[in-house]
Amino acid sequence: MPEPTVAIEIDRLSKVYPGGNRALSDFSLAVDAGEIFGFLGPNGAGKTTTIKILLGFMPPTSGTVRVLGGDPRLPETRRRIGYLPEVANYYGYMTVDELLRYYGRLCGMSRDAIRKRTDELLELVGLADVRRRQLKHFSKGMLQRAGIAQALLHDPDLLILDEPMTGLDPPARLQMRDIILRQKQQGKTVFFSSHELSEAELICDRVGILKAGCTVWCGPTNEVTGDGAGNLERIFLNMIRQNESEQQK
Amino acid sequence: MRGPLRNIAAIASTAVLELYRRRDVYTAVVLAIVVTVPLASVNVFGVKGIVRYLREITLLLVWLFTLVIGLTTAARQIPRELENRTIYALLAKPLRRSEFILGKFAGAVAATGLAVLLFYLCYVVLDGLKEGVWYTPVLPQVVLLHLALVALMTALVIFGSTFLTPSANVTCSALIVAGMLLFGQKIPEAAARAVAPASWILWTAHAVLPHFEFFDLRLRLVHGWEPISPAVLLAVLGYCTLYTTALLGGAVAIFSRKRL
Amino acid sequence: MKTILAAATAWGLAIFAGIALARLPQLRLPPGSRSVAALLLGGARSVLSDDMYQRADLYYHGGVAHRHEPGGEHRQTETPTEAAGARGRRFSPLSEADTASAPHKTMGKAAAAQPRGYSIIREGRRTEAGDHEHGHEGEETAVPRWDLWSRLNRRIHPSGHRHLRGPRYEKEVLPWLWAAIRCNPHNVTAYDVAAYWVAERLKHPEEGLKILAEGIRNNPDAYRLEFTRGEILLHMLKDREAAFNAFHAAMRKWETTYARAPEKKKPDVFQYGNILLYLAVLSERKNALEDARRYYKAALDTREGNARKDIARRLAAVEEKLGAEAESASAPKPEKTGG
Repeated sequence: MPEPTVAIEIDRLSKVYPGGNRALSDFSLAVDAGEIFGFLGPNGAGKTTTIKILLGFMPPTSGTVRVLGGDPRLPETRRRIGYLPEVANYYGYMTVDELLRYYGRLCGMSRDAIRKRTDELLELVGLADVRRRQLKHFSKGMLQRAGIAQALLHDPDLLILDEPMTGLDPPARLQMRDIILRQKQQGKTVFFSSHELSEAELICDRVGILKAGCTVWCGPTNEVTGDGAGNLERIFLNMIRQNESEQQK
Repeated sequence: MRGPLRNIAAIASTAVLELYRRRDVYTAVVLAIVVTVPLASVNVFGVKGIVRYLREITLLLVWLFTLVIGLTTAARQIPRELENRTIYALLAKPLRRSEFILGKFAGAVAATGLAVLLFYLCYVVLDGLKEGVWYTPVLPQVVLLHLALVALMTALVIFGSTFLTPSANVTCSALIVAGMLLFGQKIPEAAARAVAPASWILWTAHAVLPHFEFFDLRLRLVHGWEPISPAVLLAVLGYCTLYTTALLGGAVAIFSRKRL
Repeated sequence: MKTILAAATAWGLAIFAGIALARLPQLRLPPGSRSVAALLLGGARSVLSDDMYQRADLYYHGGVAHRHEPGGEHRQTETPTEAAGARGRRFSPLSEADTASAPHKTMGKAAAAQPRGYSIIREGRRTEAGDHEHGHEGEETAVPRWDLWSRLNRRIHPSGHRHLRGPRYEKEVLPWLWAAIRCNPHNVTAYDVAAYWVAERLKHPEEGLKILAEGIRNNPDAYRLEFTRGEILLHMLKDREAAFNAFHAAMRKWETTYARAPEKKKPDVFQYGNILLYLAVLSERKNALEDARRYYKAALDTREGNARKDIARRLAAVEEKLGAEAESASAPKPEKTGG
């Protein structure tokens, strides 16, 4: 079966929560395989809902979602996805070594593969020295690095990162950026949501801006950063202002 | 090990690891020893070799502590994953929700079951030192049915976790377990004496609620009654299996439709 | 670390509680202050003590709450205090003269004659030799055929009637009697039964007397404890003089209690009769016939029917002996004849 050229395919997706709160309205998006896609939007725009649907945590009210050509609710599809949650809470009683072994087993990896991959990743994220320390003693930044290690553990084709820069200090951000770019070099697709617009500008091939459950802008990053005046930050702020003025009317 | 079983075992192992890293069990064992050792050394009118009171109190503590450990361990399995949001990283892996539920069930049963075995080991040592008897024929049945009770209780709590708040779940489960252990045998008698609609409610409770008292053979162990017949033992284990399967089936059905 | 600290604290507290519990009888509080148990438990100690006492009966029946059938041999036990009122008939004072060397021969008979009583007391006679648990399992009561759960329960939980037999098993009831006493040092029945159990069932009369001494110290007006002391001294230790003194003390205490008690709470007259009969028989045996006659006369009013006739017959015999003594005392002594 040929590899799909589109990693994420969202078609006319709608989600209405019980109680009538509409999170997504006819939202469509396509993320190409091998690109880094920035998924931006203010709070309540529907980013987290989209990610939850992308991972099969909840069903859409209408519309379809295809991830790597498959249904994300199926374990076979999720086997190829790596996910870093927004809040990186893990089992405090485990060591980072045990955490990776646990997730590795769930991904169907062999003991040897887990051991080898754990060594590589802990070196990569800078946690090799604390691999036997329980996670409850980790700082927020260290937990975030443990989170990226677990997301990369099974060498996924698609990385979904929810606010990956949260809680990281500047060197760690640099390291995270490096890790993301390295994934792209390896032909992986990275889909990440962020409030850190400067980060998106630096590493994303394309960005999509979501507002009230609809895409307000989607395109290559260089299109919005080309003249130096209309950068992402400005677009984003303009969008929020527009949103506020509409609400006042 | 094949996929689903491997996933279930992986999830279960975390529950065991958690329980023993949290040191709850050690504390309970120490407390049980702290209570029973002074009791064992009480001088009762200068008469030596009295054991049954000690057996009863030790078993009461064993049951009390294992019920508390079992209830709390089972009750925190799913809510803790939701509260800490670890469930998102977990369910993003190639894991079915049914495997998640069964893994949590197996983990809670294994963790509590190990605690049960540890407690009974302490009981055997204490009883052996006091009485000089290290084995009674009814003991394996007592332990086996205690483990079966742990499985049924865990299934009940896991089922409750899928639709109740954690505190409501623990309260309801504790009431059902303790209520049936204490009054399970008396419900038909009470139902026969009551008038409608109380009698209907009691008969329904008798028919539907899990009979935890089936698994309590402490009386036989304390007072040296004979073991129950193999047929009755099988019937009780069959009851446990059916009930546990039904509860876990319900839990899987509800959790699979749950919006996370 | 917290866990270790908590465990260490719990350990310390438990050790302290264990020592305090074991030393409760030795603890001396300032005059006028209440006992440690009273301070700790307040009014609940009496309820707790009674519960412990009931538990001893449960243990005697192999842990199965025995359902006494109305009108049957095993009638429903009343409260332990009521039940204890009937316990003076373990021995038969009237047959004491014949059974002093084998006092237990009369225990079962006396027990069976009791209209009501606490089961661990009424089961006096050992009908079978050796240590074992006599009884059977699976006493079936009516359960609807369709009620599978109840039928299963019947097969899981023992429901038979069983009694502990022999010192190896009978001692198992003692911790609960001990606990009943420690919970409430004014639980006279618990002292009484514990002393009986230790002295007569387990053949440790000295320990039994120690229990009674403590009970009498805590309950100076308890005539029943003096009565039991008298029985142990007489039947187990064969000390008639000490036994007589104990029965005498019991009589005085009974009379004082009777005089003080309101009409509805008068002590058991039947028990008074037992005390008097013991005193009468012991007086008769040491040839204090005047005293014996006095006690028999007083005892006559405490009995009816055949028992009364029996006492009357003994009284007549004593009076006959007294008459003969008087006659022989008044008759001229035969002169010595030389040979």
